Order: sequence, then structure tokens, then C-alpha cells
Amino acid sequence: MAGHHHEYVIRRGNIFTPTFYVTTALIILAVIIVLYRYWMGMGYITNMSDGYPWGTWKSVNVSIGAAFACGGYVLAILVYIFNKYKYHHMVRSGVLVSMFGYSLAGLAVLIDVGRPWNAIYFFVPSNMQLNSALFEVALCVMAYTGVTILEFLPAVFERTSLIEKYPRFSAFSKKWYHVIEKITFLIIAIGITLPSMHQSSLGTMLIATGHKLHPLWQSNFIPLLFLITAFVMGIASIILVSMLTSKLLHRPFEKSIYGIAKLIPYATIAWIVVRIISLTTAGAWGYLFTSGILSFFVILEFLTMGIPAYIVLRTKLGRSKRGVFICSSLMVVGVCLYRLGVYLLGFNVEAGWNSYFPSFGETITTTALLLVILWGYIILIKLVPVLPNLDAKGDPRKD
Amino acid sequence: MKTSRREFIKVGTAAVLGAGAVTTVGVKDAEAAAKREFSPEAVGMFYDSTKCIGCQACVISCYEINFVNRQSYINNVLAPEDQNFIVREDLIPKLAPEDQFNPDRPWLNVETNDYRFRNIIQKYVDPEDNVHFIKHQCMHCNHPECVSVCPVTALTKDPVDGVVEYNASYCIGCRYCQLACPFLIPKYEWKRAVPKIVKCDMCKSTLGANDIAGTGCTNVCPTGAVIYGKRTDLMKDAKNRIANNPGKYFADKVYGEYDNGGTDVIYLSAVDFKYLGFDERIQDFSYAEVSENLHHTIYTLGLAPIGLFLTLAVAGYINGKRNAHDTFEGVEFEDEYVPDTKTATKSKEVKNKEVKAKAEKDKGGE
Ligand code: SF4
Ligand code: SF4
Ligand code: SF4
Repeated sequence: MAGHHHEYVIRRGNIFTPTFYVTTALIILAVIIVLYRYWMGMGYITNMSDGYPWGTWKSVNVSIGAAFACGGYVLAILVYIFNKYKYHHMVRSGVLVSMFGYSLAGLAVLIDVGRPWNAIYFFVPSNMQLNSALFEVALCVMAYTGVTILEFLPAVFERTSLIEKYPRFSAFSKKWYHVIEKITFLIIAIGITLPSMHQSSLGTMLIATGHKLHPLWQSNFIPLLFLITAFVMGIASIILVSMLTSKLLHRPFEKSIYGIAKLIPYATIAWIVVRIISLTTAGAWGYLFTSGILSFFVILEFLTMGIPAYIVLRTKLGRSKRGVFICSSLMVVGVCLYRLGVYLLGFNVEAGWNSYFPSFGETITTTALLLVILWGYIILIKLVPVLPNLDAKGDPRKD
Repeated sequence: MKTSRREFIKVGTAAVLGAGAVTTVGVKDAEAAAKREFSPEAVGMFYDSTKCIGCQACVISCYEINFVNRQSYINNVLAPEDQNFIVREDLIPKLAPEDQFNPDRPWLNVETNDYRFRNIIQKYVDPEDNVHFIKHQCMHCNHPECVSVCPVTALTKDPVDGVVEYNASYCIGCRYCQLACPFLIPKYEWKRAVPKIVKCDMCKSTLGANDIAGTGCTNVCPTGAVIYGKRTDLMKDAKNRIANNPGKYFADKVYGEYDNGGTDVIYLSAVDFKYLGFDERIQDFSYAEVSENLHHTIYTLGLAPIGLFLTLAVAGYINGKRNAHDTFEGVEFEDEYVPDTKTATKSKEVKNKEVKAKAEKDKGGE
């Protein structure tokens, strides 16, 4: 196998960069705040109230964080189900982001809930409450976090099998690498089924709030819209992660993302169509121009989803680096707006209840939880083979 | 090879379309939401706003029984062998400074239910300067959102007497019940390290479940504005009052007969209920029905996920076999590709390394 090029490379370089120190400092600050919250009670550091019981931990870290982590999900579908193995070299960085995205969403829930030790009742049959969308989301997210770890383990084993100092450990890694490799198709199948279930259920959760959710968002189509936004965000996340990695680490530009970018119009137009159906069935068109800032948010949703579709379909810009970058960024904004709309912005308790704006403590912890994703990414790409092995033109190297 | 490739793409498309179709079917079915029957034994409370004088005896009684002296009341109700366990979970910790008795301000200033007050009286003055009172506590809905959304069954509705109860030893503190309750009833102990949800349970945990004991608030009401009894009896009473006093009650409406799918606690009032803190947007059905139907259609049978999983597994297996790639063994890891100086800028690390290497070489040469 002489001349064989490995599909993935380890990024050579120092882990302890300025970015590392800044993120670490913020994470330490967040840990202190969280410890204080466990010691004193969350009322001391958050602005949540009995009227707005769900704050940024759920609306940003869980609902948006889990969406951003859908890169792995989209790639798994593309590569293993649609047989587009030409994107195989991107899978690991997708899975890495998914792994951290989901673990951090889970961690955010543990910080958010008041009695986390009772989470054991999720596994006690007499306590399982199948009517609750949250029950399903919780189980699926836990399971999927496990699946992403399984999906990522081969990368780790590849690295650890080269540690010659501990031959038994190296043999162990090799053995398990092959075991996982053999059942990859099962792991992938579970890894696609689970997000398809809970991404929609993340939206189902808010249907039970009934009139408290503004008619611009309340609709029976929330689950479907959430599923589609998972795709939209997944596509955007693959593109942005790849482009930013190339740019910031001075790597060649990854050409495959032009292929991924071709999916943009499908996902965004599907979203726009279903969003129009949802507004129609909910009879909410009347609110579109009369709800003040909320109207503005919804119109912005349509624009941020529509413009990328237009750019890719109708302009030359869609085939340039800049164009793809602009499209993906717009899509991220659009998905964040929609999901925030359902979880927070459109949440409309009757008059007399305090509105909600995140406190200092919530802002820091929410940001830190998101930064851990970046933190984990910049560390792991330097430890295990994650980044695709590209030639100078940005094509994956083959034999 | 080419045709088979297309086949696989078809498999993939079918899988994704299948998932989408199931979701859409769910949306359709949800519209045919089924109504739930009331238990004939259901108990409830009946509050007639026109009889209430706003003395707030009910507020203080509930506060005393369910907050200040809760621990001793719970112990009276429970069998001795259950006492320690439940009491430990349901303990009232040391009162926070703002909860303690203040001789300078003996009256507690309560605006809304909170973790101390499961029940409150609010005042509304209409344009003709008539005063109306309203009592707010859990409505004990027939199809309660709070029970429907609680993931660990910490909230339950008793199938016989219909009381919606809370069990702190299961609760994970997710506050989904607060988010879902249309009457904004469940309250949370925000400033406690071990917080609980607090809501009216018809005094079942403190006074026990029987008709004789009644409830803390109904037992002390001096005018009989709020009474306790079987829902069927209370409903008859309410209808009689409406029939005997034409024009006295707003729209001859018994609030809670159908609202939010019907509630065990019912109300009469002289003014529109929207002025008394009941959101106009509350429907004649419970949103628990809508979300449960939607959710069930997709999942209860488990067919959708299992079918999706199997399709994916087959597609993944076939595609995996087709595209079997080399394993890593025997392969050395390469250093990452270093861009040509002419076509791209060098990464900082690489540059540093080179500079160092050069410096070392120079040293060696000397
Ligand atoms: S009023 Fe709220 S807390 Fe009470 S039963 Fe109904 S949904 Fe539950
Ligand atoms: S806060 Fe407790 S009672 Fe309320 S939904 Fe969550 S687990 Fe259930
Ligand atoms: S029934 Fe008991 S818990 Fe409910 S409001 Fe009355 S006194 Fe309070």
C-alpha cells in the first residue's frame, strides 16, 4: 500500500493558543457561576420567572445548539444513505461538532433542571410519561450523544493504536476499531433515526403551551418545521465549520462544500413552503404586519431563508466562496430566529407578567456552553485525525 | 454500477420521504381530538364571585396549612411508615427572610400565587366602581396540560376524584408544567438549591382525601363563596343559581364547564372572566389533546421510528459494502499538507518550526 494517503490528518500544532486560553477562561468563569447556582438556587443567577420558566439554557443551548450539531446528521444521510461517498472525508469533523453540540445541550439541561438527580426516573418504567414530548427528547438526546461518541471513537482508536509504548492498549484500540467499523451501518442507522425523532419533538414540545405561543408560531406544523430547520442548520454548519477551519488554520479551501451548497435551495425552499402552510392553517397571516417586533422577526425569517435559495439558484455568487459563506451565515440566522421565536420571542404570556431578558449569569453560561464546542474542536483536531486530508486544490487525496 | 447507484439513492429518498409523510399524517389526525369524560366521582370547588367579600381568610388558611405548618399536617395524613420518606422530600426548609413574619407589616403583600401561596384573592374594580373578587388556584383540569407534559409522572390526575397532585420525589425540576399550564398555576421555588413545584392539590397531601375534611380554603370561608363537593353537585348548584337569578351572572356562564376542556373547579361571576385574570385566549379544548394526538400518531405504535431505522440500516449496509475502504493499519500519519509559499501563506506554526530549524542548523554550522 505504498503511496497510500490517509483520508484524515491530525492537525500539527500547539494546543495552547490564545483562542484556547480565552475560551478556557470563560469556561472557568461559567463553572464558578454554575457552582453558585447549584449552591444557592437558580433564582440568584437567572432572570427566569414563573411566567417565563424557560430561558436561554433551553432556547439557545438546547434548541439552537442541537440544531447546529446536525452537521453530522446531514452528512450521515448524504454519505451512507444517499451513497455520496465523495463527502466521506468530511464526516469526522461533522461528527465531532455533533458530539460536542449534543453533549453540551445535555449539560445545559442538567444545569437548567432543578432536581437533576431525579433524572433516573426517565428509566423507571412506571414513571415514563409517553405523552410528554420532553420525555422523548430527553431519551433521544441522551442516546444520540452516546451514538455520536461511538461514531467518533474510530478516530480516537486510530490514534491510540499508534502508541507503541503500551502494546496492549494499542492492540485493544485496533480490535475495537474493527468491531465498530463492522457495525457502522447499525450505528449510522440509529444515528439518523434518533435526530429525525427528537428534532421534530423539540418543536412538538411547544404545542402544548397553546395560546401562550403567539399565533405566528403556534401551529401543528412546528414538528415538521423543526425537522427541516435541522437540515438547514446542518448544511450551514458543515459549510461554516469547513470554511472557518480552512481560513483560520491556513488550510486549503475544501472544494466539496460547493457540492453541499447545492442542497441549500432544497432545504430552505421546503422550509418556506411549510412555513407558509403553517401560517395559513393557523390563520395567522393577519398578524404578519400587525405584531410589531414579532412581525419583523417573522419577515426576517423568510428573508434569511429566501435569500440563500435565490443566491444559489439564480446568481453566480452562489458558486463563489463568498456567496456560499453569506448563504450559510444567513441560514444560521434564519434557523436561530425561527427556533428562538418558538421558544422565547413568540412566547406571549398574558399581560402583567414580567417579560424575560437573560441575566449576566445566563449570558455567560450560555456563551460558555457554546464555546466548549469550539474548545473541544480546536483541541481534538490536534490530537486525533479529524480534518480531511486535502491536496493543494482542496480535493480529498485518494490513492 | 451506475444503475445500482441510482437504486441506492432511491432507497435514501424513500426513507426520508417516509419520515416526512408520517409527520404530515400526524398533523392531520391531531385535528380530530377526542374529548375526555369527567369521572363521576370527581371532586372540585365552586367559587361564586358575587358572594366573596375579599377577606382573604382562604389565603391565610391555605398558607398556614400548606406552607407554614405543612410538615406537621403531612405527618397527620401519612401512615407512620411513609412519614420520613415523604417528609424529607417535601420538607419546608428554613423560611427565607422575606417569608418570615414581619410585625411591622403583618399583612403579606401578595399579588399573585407563588411558592408560598397556592391560592390568592385578586380584586377588580369595574368602570361603575363595583368591586369584584376572584380566587385563583389550580383548576384541576379534566385534561391537564401539566400532567400531559411532565416527563417523569411527577404530576398525576387521580382517575377517581380528579385531583391533580404533585410528587416532589419524582420531579426533575424542568418547569415544563409551568410552561404548559394555561392558568399559570404551578409555581417554582426559584431561590432554593433544592427547588420544588408548588400548586394546590385540594389539600390532599395535608388534610387527606375525604369529603368530611374539606379543604383549607373552603372550610374557613365565612360567606360560603367557595365551597367544596362533588363536581356534579356543584355544577347543579351553579346552574340553579343562574336559573334563580336571571341577569345576575355574566352571560349565564359557568366558567370551567368547558373551558380548557372542562375543569373540576368552577366559577360564577358578575363580570366577564377576562377582567378576572382568565386569559381570553383559553379555548374550549385542552392543548394537551392536540399535542398528545400529534405525538401519538407519530410514535405510540413505534412503527415510524422502527421502519425508518430498518430502511436506513439496509441502505447503510448496502452502501457500506459498496464503498468499503481501506483501514488504517500500516499507514503512517502524514504531517498536514503545507501550502506552497507561492500559492498560499504558511501557517504560523509551520513558519516558526522552519525558523527554528534554520537557526539550529546555523548554530550547528558554526
Ligand atoms: S390549572 Fe394548570 S396546574 Fe392546574 S390542572 Fe390545569 S394545567 Fe394543571
Ligand atoms: S417541573 Fe417537575 S412536575 Fe413540572 S413538568 Fe418538570 S418534572 Fe414534571
Ligand atoms: S384546596 Fe387546599 S391547597 Fe388548594 S387552594 Fe384551597 S387550601 Fe390551598
